[in-house]
Formats: sequence, C-alpha cells, structure tokens
Amino acid sequence: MTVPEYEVEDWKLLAKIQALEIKSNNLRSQEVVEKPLRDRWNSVGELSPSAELKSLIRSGIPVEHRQRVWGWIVSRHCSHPPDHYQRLLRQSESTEHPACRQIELDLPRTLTNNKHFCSPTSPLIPKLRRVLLAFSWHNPTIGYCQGLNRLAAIALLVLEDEESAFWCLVHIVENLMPTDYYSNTLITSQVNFLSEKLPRLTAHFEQYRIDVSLITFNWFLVAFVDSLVSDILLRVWDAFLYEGIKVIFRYALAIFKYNEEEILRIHDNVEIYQYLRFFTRMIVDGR
Amino acid sequence: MAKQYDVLFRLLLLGDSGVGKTCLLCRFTDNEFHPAHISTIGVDFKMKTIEVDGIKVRIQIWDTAGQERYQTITKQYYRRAQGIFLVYDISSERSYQHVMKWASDVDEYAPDGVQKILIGNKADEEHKRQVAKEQGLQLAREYGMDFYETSACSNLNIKESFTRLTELVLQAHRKELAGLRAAAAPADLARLDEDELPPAGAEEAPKACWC
Repeated sequence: MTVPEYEVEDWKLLAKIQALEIKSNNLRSQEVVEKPLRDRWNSVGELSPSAELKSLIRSGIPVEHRQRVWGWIVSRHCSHPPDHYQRLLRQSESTEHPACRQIELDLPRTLTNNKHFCSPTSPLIPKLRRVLLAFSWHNPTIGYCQGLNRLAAIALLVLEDEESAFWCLVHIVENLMPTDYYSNTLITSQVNFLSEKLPRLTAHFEQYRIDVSLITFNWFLVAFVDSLVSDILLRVWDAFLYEGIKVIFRYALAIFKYNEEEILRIHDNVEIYQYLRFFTRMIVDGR
Repeated sequence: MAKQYDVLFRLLLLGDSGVGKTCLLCRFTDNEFHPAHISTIGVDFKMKTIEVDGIKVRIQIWDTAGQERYQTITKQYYRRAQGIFLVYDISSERSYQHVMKWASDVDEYAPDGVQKILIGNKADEEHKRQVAKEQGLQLAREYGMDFYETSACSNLNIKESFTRLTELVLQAHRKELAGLRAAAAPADLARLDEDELPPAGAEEAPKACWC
C-alpha cells in the first residue's frame, strides 16, 4: 500500500544529521579552538565589558571558560534580592501553579537526545522542574510557555548551578527577547526579516508560496536549540547572551544567505519546505 | 519520467498538548515510536506517499503545538488543510472535553468541506483509561465524524485512520480529481481549493524531473 520512493533524499539527510549528532553528542566535550584564541582567553582575567571581549565572545568561548563567562553575563543583568530564588522555590512547594501541568508534560520531552536529559531519572530533571516552576511564579504574565524548557535546559547544561540557570532564563526572556515574546498569543514572535536583505530569496519563497515564518518561528522562540548541532548552538548562544536577539536574527539571515543558491534551485513548494526543515542541521562550521 | 504521485494534499493534527500527535505522525511516516519525543514548538510537518484506490497520494501532514497560547499561530494553518485529525488521549478526560473547543475552532478557521476524523489515542494504556470507547463514538456521531481508537505505541489503527482520512479527502474532491491518473502533472489540492493559477514558471519546471 505504501509507496516507498522519494524518501531516499530524506534518509541521506537523516544519516548526515545522525553523524553530526554523534560527533557532537556530548555538549561539553572537547571543542577544537585554535591555539591563539585559547591563549587570548586564558589571558582574560577579571571580566569587564569591552570591544575586545565582545569580539572574543563572537569567536566562540572555549568550553573551559563558558560556564564562568555565561555566569558573569547573567549576573550583570539580574539584580534581585539574594533570596529571591529560594522564596520562589518555597512558593512552588506550597502552592500549585496553573502552569504545573504543562511543565510536567514537557519535562520528559526536553532535549531527549542529550544524555543528561534522556532518562526520566536524570538528576537534571528535578532541577529543570524547579527552575521552570520558579520562573512561572517570578513572571506570572508569561508563566510557562512551551519552549522555555529548552532554554532552561541549555542553561542548566552549561551553568550547572540551578539558581544561575534560573537567572539565565530570566535574562533571556526579560532582557534579550522582545517584550511579550512568550506571553499569551505569541503573535509578536512572527517576524518578517528576509525581504530587505535577501530579495531574490524572498521572491522565490513568494513564487512557491513558502511561509518562512513557519520554519523560523521555532528558531527564534527557542533561540535555535532545536535546529543547530550543539557545538554551533553554544557558540551562537555565547554571542546571543552577551549582545542580544540581534545575534539570532543575524545568524538566521546568514543561514539563508549561505544556502541561498541551493534553495533557489528548488522549484516546488513541498520540496522547499522539506529542505528548510532539515538544512540548519547540516551546518558544521559556525563561522 | 513518470510522475511520482498523482495528487498532493495537506492533513493537520490537532489536540491538547501531550495527547500523542507527534507520535501518531512518526508511527505513520517512519513506523517509529519514541515515547519521549520532544514537544512540538509551533508547527512541524512530515511527508508520506500512499496509494488509495490506485491513486498515488502524497500527503503533507502538519503537526501542531498543543499549548493554548500557540493557537494564534497554528490557526493560520487550518485554512490550508483538506483533512483534520482531532486527537484526544483516552487516559485524559480533559483532553476529550477539549475536543469540542478544537472542533469549534476548526469550524471557524478551516475551509468549508474540510474532512475531519476523531482519534482517541493511547489505546494501549487501558489501565489508565478515563474515556470510554462509547464516549468517543458518541462524540464522533454528534459531529458526523469517523472515529478510531489508536495507539502509536502498539501500532493500532494508525495506517487505517490515516488511510481513511485520505479516502475521505479524495471523495470530497472527486470532481476536481476526475481524470487524474491520466494527467501529466500532479494536482495540488490546496491550490485547486484556493482556485489560483499555478505560479509563473511552474510549467518550465515540472516536478517529476527533479524530485
């Protein structure tokens, strides 16, 4: 009954993706950073905002410095009483937040390909629960929005400390993302950013009736967590945490620009969608 | 080169968060089941080609996020669908109650004549059942829909329900599809529905040549 044909291309893609995932399986495994860059990082003492630091961060933070630098970025932007997180935790324990149901549904559905999250008994799962519950009390307007689980999970993987991960989530949602991004209707999350910079591609998408926001909605909402292989994702996040949402938009533009010719060669609505669904995972060079 | 399919159309999966929409889809398209699939953000889709009554049908199946605040986004895709699965979880009374809300949204936003079927998923979890099969049948009767209890986990009624919805869509578009098998180019039902001309340049690049 089933016609097994066109999927050959898909399988090829999947195979490549799997190879990439194996390669970058451990989020914090050895990264290859050129020696000069490592040396420059090693000579950075006290962190303070500067053009030099910005350019260093843009080049990607070496894995052994990432936790410290992310922690520093987050702490610069969040000024609440020191017991704020503890108070939120006590609140989560004493009262059930309406978002609790959705959070519980999503905990086992977070970064399931990652070894720290794939098991329901992983110690990171209760941490993630507490961070998300605390956030929903901290910001009742947003409460919990599907996708925040991914952001918090990445923060936990890198920062390890639960409270730092909470503040990282707060920093992303309240300082970096546009206001109301995760609140009730998500309507501001759809952005048309291509037409000005890539007119040829925009015309191509119009001709084949491609709604790009369908693809990019996910990129922006979870800052590429679902779309990029982890070593590249973390580099994008380095600059994103330091400089803000413009990094995500620029990276999205770069991805389209980088693959423009390839996309222009496809002349069919469905095939273009198929391509767009996969292509971010094929990027192996972060620069 | 022979065309690879005769007709293309779009199906949509709707229902509360966690009822198993993505798992249904993965079971149907890839015959895989991962109980802990990551939650869907916004919309996603998969493709599958099946043959029904001698017609090769390529189906694009849209999967949606179930959380309420995503509905402003997902509703924009209702109008592009020719068939809709309304999915609840037999172990969640709440998800069953919400089918009415999903159905009324479909009435409001989907095209007239869209075909719908009701799915009670997770039928393998008999020990957790909160919704009797009779309740599913009853609701389906009220809405004039076909009804299946399915399990993506044990592969129960997956192919059957997808094939059934495909048949319903084909029947509903019988007129447009007459003479289809003889036609040189595949038909895109969404396009027929919207009654639009194919995009300029489409003739120079017939699908069969490169897909």
